[in-house]
Amino acid sequence: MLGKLIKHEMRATGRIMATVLLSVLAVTVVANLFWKIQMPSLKVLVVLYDTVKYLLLAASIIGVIGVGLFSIVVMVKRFYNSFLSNEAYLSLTLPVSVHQHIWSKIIVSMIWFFLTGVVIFLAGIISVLLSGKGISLSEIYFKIIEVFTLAVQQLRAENVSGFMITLFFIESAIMVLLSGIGLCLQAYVSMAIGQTSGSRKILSSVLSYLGISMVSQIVVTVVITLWGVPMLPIDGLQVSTMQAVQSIHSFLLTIIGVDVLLLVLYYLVTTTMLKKRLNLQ
Amino acid sequence: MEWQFDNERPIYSQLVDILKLKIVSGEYKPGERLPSVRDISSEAGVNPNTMQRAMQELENQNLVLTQRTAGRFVTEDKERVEMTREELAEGHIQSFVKLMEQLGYSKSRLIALLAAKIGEVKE
Amino acid sequence: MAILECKALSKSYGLTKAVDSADIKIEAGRVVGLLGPNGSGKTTLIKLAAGLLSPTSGEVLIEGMAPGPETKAIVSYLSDRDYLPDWMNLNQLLDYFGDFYSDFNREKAIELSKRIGVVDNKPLKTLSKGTREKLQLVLVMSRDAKLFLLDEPIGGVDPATRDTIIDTIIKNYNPDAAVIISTHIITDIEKILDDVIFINEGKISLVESVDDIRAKHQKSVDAYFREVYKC
Repeated sequence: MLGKLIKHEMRATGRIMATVLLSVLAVTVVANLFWKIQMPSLKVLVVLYDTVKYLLLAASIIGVIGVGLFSIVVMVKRFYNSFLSNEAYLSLTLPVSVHQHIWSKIIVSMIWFFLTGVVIFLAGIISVLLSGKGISLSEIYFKIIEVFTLAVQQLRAENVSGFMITLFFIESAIMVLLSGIGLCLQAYVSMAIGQTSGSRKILSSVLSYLGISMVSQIVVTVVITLWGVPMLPIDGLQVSTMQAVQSIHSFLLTIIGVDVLLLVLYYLVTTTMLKKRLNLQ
Repeated sequence: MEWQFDNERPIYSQLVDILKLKIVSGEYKPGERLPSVRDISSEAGVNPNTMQRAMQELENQNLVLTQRTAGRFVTEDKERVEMTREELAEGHIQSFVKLMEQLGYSKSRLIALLAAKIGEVKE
Repeated sequence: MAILECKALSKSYGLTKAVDSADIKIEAGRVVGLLGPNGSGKTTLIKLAAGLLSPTSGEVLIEGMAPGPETKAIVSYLSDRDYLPDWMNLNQLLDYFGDFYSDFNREKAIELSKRIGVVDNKPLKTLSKGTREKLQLVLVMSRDAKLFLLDEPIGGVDPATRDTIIDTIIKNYNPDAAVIISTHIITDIEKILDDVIFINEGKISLVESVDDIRAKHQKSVDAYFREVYKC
């Protein structure tokens, strides 16, 4: 059932997300090409051409920034449509659990977040490639590898084990993952709470969201200040690299821990709201 | 013949009457296979359970028989159909006579009226 | 085992009791009318059976189970709203229903759709409201469910559509399933009901068969209902 939910969720979001993502790439390519090509002769044409050039540049920049926001908007809209609009009569009478519903939406949103990230990254690469400075794709590739290798080598030189380095990457990956899931769950829990107020659903959802973000910020800050920061080796004391590395680990793990707790809380509130306090007009 | 129902009587008994009428009038011929309960309910616009009950009643009165897998058939017993025809006629005539009495028609006036009217009414 | 059973079922919103201690038992093969004025609690009762709302107290059981994914697999629910995503076309809807409901009969749905004039694959939003309503009913009735919950299936449609809907319900009859039709328009639907349940202000006031009401009171259920509720 989860697979089917994911399939239909992709169908519902596929066309618009694919169109937007591909358009952003297309506009970036076109903008970069226009930038490179010089239009000769006629002044009128030059002015026109320049206008187009700058418009395309603006479009591509807005596109790259906007596409991230757009994927978030789509995520929010899907949840709203499925559970807070008339479509809820359809979704919530399907023989699936609320858990399957929410996970299917989170998973599909994460897929689109990932693809959006890929598109932004590609837009960057395309701009570099087409900038006319003669940088080739293989040069970029090797440069990236070089930076990574250098960083790893330096850490190894200080006796940081390969295991620790891998752990850092894993922790960073987990934090990225959690922030993606967090974006979704914070929106979902706000809307789940907001829908209990019947006629002022959207207003309540927005207010809930603001409230929840504020509270979660405070909670995370408090936890980091009380537990996290003391772990870091900031005093003048000379600490071995090993100890420094381990304390950074603990710090990261604390952040991850708080995040996970908050997300679990959001998840439980969302599912409970949808199961027990559903307020269909 | 249309499936007409009034509002005062149970639908089940009205169905029994209508079905009897269809058999007696020859719309459902002796030995003819009746439509399935589902089809005939759809035609009549009534609940299949109610139709089933009506059919069952007709079976109890031997106007209709069920042959295990083949379905329901109108009886071939012409006498039975005749008897039903007479029962129905009897019932209608009695209520008619009663009504006409209430309207103030004497026996002879009624007979004369009937003789005149029957010529006019054509099927 | 009864298809639907409500035991002292209540649903309150704040201080208002939308459904007040309802006791109902509906067996397979019955077509039941849930009759009551607007705001009487019919829709709330149906939503409780559909698993869209949770009871404040009491129980609602479908084949002995509390509402959840297992009951939703055997309950086919028709809302009185326009609830299908309007960007979907017929094919996508058929895929959707076929994917999630193992009892969905795709061929039947296609056949019924043809009958109501939906043959091509244009998005729902291009269809008229009446056609969309009929299509919702088609999809709901194309399932081989154990319990059909139809919330106001004939409210606000033209007489021809009403006849089509009533005929679809008759033709769809399954002696292993129960059909509950919630409505405030009784006249057209009376002949297809086995039993009726009168509900007003959340309370069940009558549970009786149509023929018994007619036999006892020499009037149609509609007339009797008006008398009881003086409306």
